[in-house]
Amino acid sequence: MTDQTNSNEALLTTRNVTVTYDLTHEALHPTDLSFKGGEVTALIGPSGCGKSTFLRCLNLMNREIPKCRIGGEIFYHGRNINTKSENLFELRKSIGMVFQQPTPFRKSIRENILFAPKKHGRLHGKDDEDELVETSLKQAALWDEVKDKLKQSAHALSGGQQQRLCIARTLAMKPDVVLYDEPCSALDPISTFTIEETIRSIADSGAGICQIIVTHNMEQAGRVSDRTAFFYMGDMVETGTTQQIFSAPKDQRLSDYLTGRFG
Amino acid sequence: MAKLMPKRRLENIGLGITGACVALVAIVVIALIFMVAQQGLTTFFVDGIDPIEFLTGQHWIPEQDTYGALPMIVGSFAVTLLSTLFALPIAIGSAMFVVEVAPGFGKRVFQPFIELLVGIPSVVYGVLGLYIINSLMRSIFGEAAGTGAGILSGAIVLAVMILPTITTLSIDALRAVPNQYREGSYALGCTRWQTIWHVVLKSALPSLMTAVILGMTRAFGETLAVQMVIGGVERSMPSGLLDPASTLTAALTAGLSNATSGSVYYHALWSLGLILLAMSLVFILIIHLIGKKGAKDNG
Amino acid sequence: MANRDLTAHVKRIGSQDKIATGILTAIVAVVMALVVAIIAYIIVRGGGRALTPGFLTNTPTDDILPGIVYQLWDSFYLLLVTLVISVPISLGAAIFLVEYAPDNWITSAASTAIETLSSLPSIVVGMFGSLFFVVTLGWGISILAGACALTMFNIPILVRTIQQALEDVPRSQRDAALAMGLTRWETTLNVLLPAAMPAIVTGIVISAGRVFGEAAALIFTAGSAPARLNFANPFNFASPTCPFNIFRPACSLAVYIWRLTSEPTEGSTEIVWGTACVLIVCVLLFNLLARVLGKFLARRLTAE
Repeated sequence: MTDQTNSNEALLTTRNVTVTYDLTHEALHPTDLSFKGGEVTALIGPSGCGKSTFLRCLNLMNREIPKCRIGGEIFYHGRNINTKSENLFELRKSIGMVFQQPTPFRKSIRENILFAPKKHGRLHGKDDEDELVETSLKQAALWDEVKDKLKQSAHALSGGQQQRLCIARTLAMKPDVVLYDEPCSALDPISTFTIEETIRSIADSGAGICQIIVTHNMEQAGRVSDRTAFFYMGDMVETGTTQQIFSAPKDQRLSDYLTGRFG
Repeated sequence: MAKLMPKRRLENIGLGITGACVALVAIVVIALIFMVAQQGLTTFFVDGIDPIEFLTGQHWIPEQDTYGALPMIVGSFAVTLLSTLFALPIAIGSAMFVVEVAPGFGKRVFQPFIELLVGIPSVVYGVLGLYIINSLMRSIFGEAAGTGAGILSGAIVLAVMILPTITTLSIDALRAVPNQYREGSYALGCTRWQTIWHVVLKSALPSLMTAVILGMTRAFGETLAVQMVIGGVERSMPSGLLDPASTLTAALTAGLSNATSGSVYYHALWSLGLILLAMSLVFILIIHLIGKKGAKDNG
Repeated sequence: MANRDLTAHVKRIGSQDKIATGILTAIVAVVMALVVAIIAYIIVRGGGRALTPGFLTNTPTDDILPGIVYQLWDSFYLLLVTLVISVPISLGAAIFLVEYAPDNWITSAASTAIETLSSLPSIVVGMFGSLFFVVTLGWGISILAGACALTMFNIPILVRTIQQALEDVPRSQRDAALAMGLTRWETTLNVLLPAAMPAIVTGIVISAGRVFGEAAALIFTAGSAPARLNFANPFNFASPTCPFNIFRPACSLAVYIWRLTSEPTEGSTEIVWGTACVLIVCVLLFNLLARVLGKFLARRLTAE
């Protein structure tokens, strides 16, 4: 099913994207979707439906898995990035990713944020660094909690704080797309709520960042997303505004999923 | 701001440096195999010694240009098999105790203990064998034992040396058996011993076999400890376990310092090295075959 | 009737279980007693000589009390040179195999090569070294040739421990760094290696203990004749008596023991036991150091 939005406005568009493991097993059937800046899109579906696999195509992370092939075309700012010559390192500077488990490095909070920008040669002096740390932590709603202990190990933070640090770290790269792979599945309800608020505030900040979140939690999709796409058994079954998807599902499989017939 | 290298170039540099390390190791191994083969085959192709006679000849007397490697081949296999026979029950028994009876004690006390044995250098085992085992042999078997040096002494020393290898690997093998298997067996009312014997050992069998083969590899290639206690007699076939004998490794160690490079004797020694090399390749092959079969059996 | 059978059976398997447990306990007790006996015997038998003043500091040719100062120096120096060569190569090879290894025949051939190296008898390595390093490369019987032979013996052990240490770092750490557009090289150096450092250091020290006692690979590469060293003039690198000269022959403690037992002389038995005691104590210290260092680094890593 093709999304009807005008592809000129879309930041990221996929056309016939497939993923095959071991050269034979097609884990994701041809999928067409587009994502716009400033919007939050939720990818939902039962586990093993291909939603995470699809997400990992958007920054070409699937290429890091041996014997995994991405087929089709992925347009980012109108340019197909699923090519051999694509510079992965440049691409991933502007398409960030937050993982299921919080993954702070064994460094201080400050160094966690500065590590990648430094390696990309983006920082000019200490003022620049301080400013980046502060703005990214504020964007991820973590600044007030950690501003006095920036030199401490990131591992000393709670799980929810670690995950927000990972979001801050991703935002410090100044990306225009952020991918979240079930970012709350390892967290308690209160931390989950804070992360959702963070995602909403980034969307509403007017920075034009396109956020895509994979979740198996339908309520979460309802709370944070503007648009939703439903995946089932490797197929992208239905997509639309979140309201549409939840109130007027067209496909039988989607309405079965929403009513809890399977999950 | 420091000028940064483009990421792609950096990645290629990383790939190049690490790849060069692997290539270096691979090249050295290939050079080794090539060199041993080249020197070892000279005996047959240039010096004109019949390979069949070399492998089956029962006398190794370099002064008379008689090169029969059978005494050493038999010696090597005898000490390897005997030492495995001695070490195996003890190793598997300890592994069972450590994994099934007292896991906490095993991790905290027994494993660090047995790892101390791995650390003891092989010459020290040789010294112990030379001064203790050999005199023990003399006092047990009297005249029959001669100086005490012989296949049996060699095998006893080797058994102690390969004990930690087999034990540690067996412990890993038993630990790798999923706990559900044990719980399933206990739930059926089986005793601990029945569980160990019928369930745990059976499912750990391929890994236990690998452990034994690795122990044998070590025994077969062990050099100085054996050389110091076995007596170093290559001239003729050993006729009993108490007879002084020699192994491939011992004959090499003793011979290399006397042989002049380029002589027939020198080449014949390399042929012994070639046999050792071939045997270690065979051991690797066996381990791979066990691994493949195990993978197939488990689906 | 059937009921009685069952009771008897339960009794039988019960006592079978007890006997088996008893036997297993006995085996473990014997093994532990053996370990203690071996180490205690060496220390008691050789400790007296090892602690005699002068044994550690006299030269082997001393008339009153022949010592092992040259062998002790050579052992540590050989170990140092070996580690300097083998650690970087092993690190590189392990990083390649874990992080870069393309899934093809070249990689599997390389790992088979390393596996082959690990199962080679050390005398074969020594034999190869005596021809390749000593003759073909023209280094002569020397510390460098010995260290290269020891490197071949050490590399498979090190590569395996480093590989294991890198693989034990959670996948997510690697993915997170790669997803920020960093190269595998940067990821490995800045994220994976620091996290794997305690395990790597422990592995290196344990392998050092093994190298320290290895003799068969050295006899024909570094030699077995005790060198005469001149510690008073350590910086004349070309001199055969210079302790730091890597092109001079050397005799380690282990090789010295082997030489004394194969060519016994008057009073050599005592020297053998004394040297064996020193060797064992060194190896035990390496073992201890590995544990302490590993724990210390792990604690520092989690604390910072």
